[in-house]
Amino acid sequence: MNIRHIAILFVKELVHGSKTFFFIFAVLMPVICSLVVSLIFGSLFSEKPRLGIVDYGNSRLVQKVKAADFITSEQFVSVIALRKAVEAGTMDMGLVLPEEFDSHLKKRQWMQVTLYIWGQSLIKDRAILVAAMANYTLELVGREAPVEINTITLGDGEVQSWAERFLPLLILMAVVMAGCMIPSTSLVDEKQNKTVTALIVTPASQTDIVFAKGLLGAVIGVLTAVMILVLNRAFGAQTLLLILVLSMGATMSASFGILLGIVMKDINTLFATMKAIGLLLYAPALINLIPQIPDWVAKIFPTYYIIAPVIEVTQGGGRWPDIAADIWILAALILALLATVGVLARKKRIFEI
Amino acid sequence: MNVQIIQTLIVKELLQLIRNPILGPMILFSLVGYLAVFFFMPATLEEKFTLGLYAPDAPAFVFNEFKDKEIKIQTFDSKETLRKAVAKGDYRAGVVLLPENMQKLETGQKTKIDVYFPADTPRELDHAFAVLLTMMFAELGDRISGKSFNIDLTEEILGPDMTGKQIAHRDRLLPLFAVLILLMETLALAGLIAEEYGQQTLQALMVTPMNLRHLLIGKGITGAGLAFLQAAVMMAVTGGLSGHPLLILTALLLGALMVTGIGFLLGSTARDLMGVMGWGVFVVILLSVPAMSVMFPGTISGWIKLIPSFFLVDTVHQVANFDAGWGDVWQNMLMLLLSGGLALWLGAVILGRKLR
Repeated sequence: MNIRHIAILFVKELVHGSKTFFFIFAVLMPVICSLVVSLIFGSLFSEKPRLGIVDYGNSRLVQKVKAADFITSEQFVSVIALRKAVEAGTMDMGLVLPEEFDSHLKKRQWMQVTLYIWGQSLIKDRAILVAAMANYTLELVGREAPVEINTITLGDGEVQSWAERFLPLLILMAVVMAGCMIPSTSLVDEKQNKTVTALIVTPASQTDIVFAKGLLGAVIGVLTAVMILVLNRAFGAQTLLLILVLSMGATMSASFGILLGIVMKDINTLFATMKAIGLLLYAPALINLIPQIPDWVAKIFPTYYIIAPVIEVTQGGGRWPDIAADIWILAALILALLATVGVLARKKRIFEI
Repeated sequence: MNVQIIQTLIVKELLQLIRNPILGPMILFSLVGYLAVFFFMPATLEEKFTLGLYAPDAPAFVFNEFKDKEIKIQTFDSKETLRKAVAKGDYRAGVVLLPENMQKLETGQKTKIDVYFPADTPRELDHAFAVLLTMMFAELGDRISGKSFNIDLTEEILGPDMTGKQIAHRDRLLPLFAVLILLMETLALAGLIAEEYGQQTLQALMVTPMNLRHLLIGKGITGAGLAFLQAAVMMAVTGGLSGHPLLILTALLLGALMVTGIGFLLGSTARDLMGVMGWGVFVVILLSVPAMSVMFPGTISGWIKLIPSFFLVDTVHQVANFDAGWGDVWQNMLMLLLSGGLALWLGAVILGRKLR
């Protein structure tokens, strides 16, 4: 193995390979999915009722509504804009506060307050918004509610948002897609286009070529996974440990990608195979979406040992002793894959035309 | 025009599609997959809160107050059974209303009411529910003591009031599924064209008695027919055809013609199957965007009407979920006819030029 040859081939792969559809797909797809998930589960499916307010009198009620953690609120400059937002469903309710709302309230003077309700808003959202407005109005006049609710939480279930549940799938997509897809498609493409002829007559060995392709897949896999973690603000405190885990995961994916590249003859077969085994690769992350499935089921799948340490470090604040066992299993899986690649490469003579 | 040639071509197209290792399974699995997702999702939308209540000797007006606030309640005989049911996640919350709570409410004294919450719900929602209960009991106390607010609240409901007949999430997904099924067919048609062009079998066909018109009609009928058939099956199975079947089927047919035109365009632009998949992803994303306005009302503004699939999505949504008729959606149908005709004409012209 010659490091100079590998470096030259790596740069060549990066320059030419980055223009291919698969390269762009492998990098962009996890990022697009991450953005979609954070959009849908971050705000659209947040279950918080939405209240729009037009305030003509600088009322303190607005500040109280904005501070509430269970309401999504937005202030509008005119009643027309508010009506439009409620009618379109952007807001569940729209409240128009008249001038001197606070002082009228304190002086107990009668006043007119308009409330717009979106026809498709849920009864429970309407109830919460009306209750919140009444509660803050009581606070404004200094009246104490005659009831104190003593909140008692039962059981030890973990509150995990959908965005958090989807994170393992997104990271796995990043590591597996780039790590696996880039080297496998590059190898098959070279075989299909017969550009291997040119490679054979260079001083680069078969190992140099395969290593450069795998390295590019692994590097891009790590970078994409880091991007996903940064986008989701889930990088955690153990940066070096996280990079180590992601690098090992990307190495395993790249090894598998090379294996596929050696075995598959054309891009169509490769594509169909990847689709067929996709479910197995992403199974641990899909199982994570359904809390009812016991944890041991996910451990059957090799990619579990990529994603489990990443989640432990990023979401559980885990350190080396917490993830050591998984890391050793991951290392063993990488060695097994590399050994299989070595045997197959020798047996199939991948670069022979 | 020779009908027999077109028939032969349609049979060839269908066989080729079934035998293709990527496109064949893609079409089959997409229909089965969408149906599975649809039936996996809940058929109704939870509009109201359901809570458990342990309230020995509570007067009837307490239960009426819950009813007035549209909260469904299930009474329990003991605190322990209520705790177990809430911990299991059967109820949004469990309220313990003891006789001493009621006495204090009646005498205007402050009282503390225990409310159980399951552990796996977000804390901010528990907070919201606690505020709701606080105000409900405060109102109850006010009613007993005769206090009231000095506010005259004017309520106006904008748009159709869907209270009690809210659209379930899965029904909001129907228009998206219809568009995606049509688009999968587009990708398949475009993939076949690109593959045939790449392997030069299209050029070989041109030296047979078949001419360009036969080819375009044959491919167009196969593409539009398969797309329409699958979308119609999906709508029939999911109950989308129960209201105005003819209207929905006409909209799907026009949509199928539109995507067939887009398929011709894709097939003539891309160099091979992978190129079709690459460009196709962007087309699928773009044409799916209007469905977001149905799934998440209020998130997308008026520019969405520039994307032709909006007219299909809006028609399916209005007819299947709001029982709209021909008079309500005729403008959508007209736009669909125009955009479908334009896409088909443009696709046929560009593909024809490429083949000439």
